[in-house]
Amino acid sequence: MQPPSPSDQAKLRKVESPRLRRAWASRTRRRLYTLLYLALILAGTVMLIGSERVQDLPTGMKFPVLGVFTVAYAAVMLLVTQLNRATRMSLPHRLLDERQRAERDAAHRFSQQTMGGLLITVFVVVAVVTINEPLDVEFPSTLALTLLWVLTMVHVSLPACYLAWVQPDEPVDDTGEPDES
Amino acid sequence: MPTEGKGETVHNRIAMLRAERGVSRRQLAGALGVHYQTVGYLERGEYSPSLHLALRIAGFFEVPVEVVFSTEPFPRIGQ
Repeated sequence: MQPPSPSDQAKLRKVESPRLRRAWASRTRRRLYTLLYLALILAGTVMLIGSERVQDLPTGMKFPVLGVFTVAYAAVMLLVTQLNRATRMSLPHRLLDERQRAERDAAHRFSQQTMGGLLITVFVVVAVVTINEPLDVEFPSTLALTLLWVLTMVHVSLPACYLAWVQPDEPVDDTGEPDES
Repeated sequence: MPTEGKGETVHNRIAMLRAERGVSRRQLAGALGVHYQTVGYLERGEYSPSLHLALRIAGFFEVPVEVVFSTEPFPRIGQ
């Protein structure tokens, strides 16, 4: 195996810093952050559904609402970045050992199957609605945006969420003593 | 320290051998080219190594692979 390049070493330093590893070692903490992340996705979904009404707001009200959107989006991006670091999803495959690769492969398998199920469900629901809806009823564009938001976020973050949820508590950096857990 | 998965159980003596030889997790991991947490997961029985890694672990301790890994529980000291 070739020694890691300087850029790989920088990535490793970022993800393997003792402070970061200590922060994410607990599975309970990782699960709490995963739940918080899912709650934010849900909040984003609700906000997008209601976004049609933003157009009707007076100009003075639009900016605070857009500000809330921006803050929520930034929080989602921050959390997904942290989850990616916690689960090493931010590292390239070549920097992982066999256990980490096996875990990532399992996460991708799970995510692929889940996304497949979700896409088929969406396809069936949209097909049924399209076939049965009266001609004068329009599919609101905000719903299409909301659907895209949910599908994109699930696709982007499900492997990290899966790993954060299932990985056991990380073994501590050793003192030479066997782990008692 | 069993590794369980779908009815398969692999027991190992990595922690004992490591303590006996005074080798830290980081030292063993460095020699094997794996993450130190992987050694921890192996010791806790939460990961079952590939044959290649198992042979390298046995090679590191200079013992036959069946001294480190077994499908049967290892007898406790004093038994």
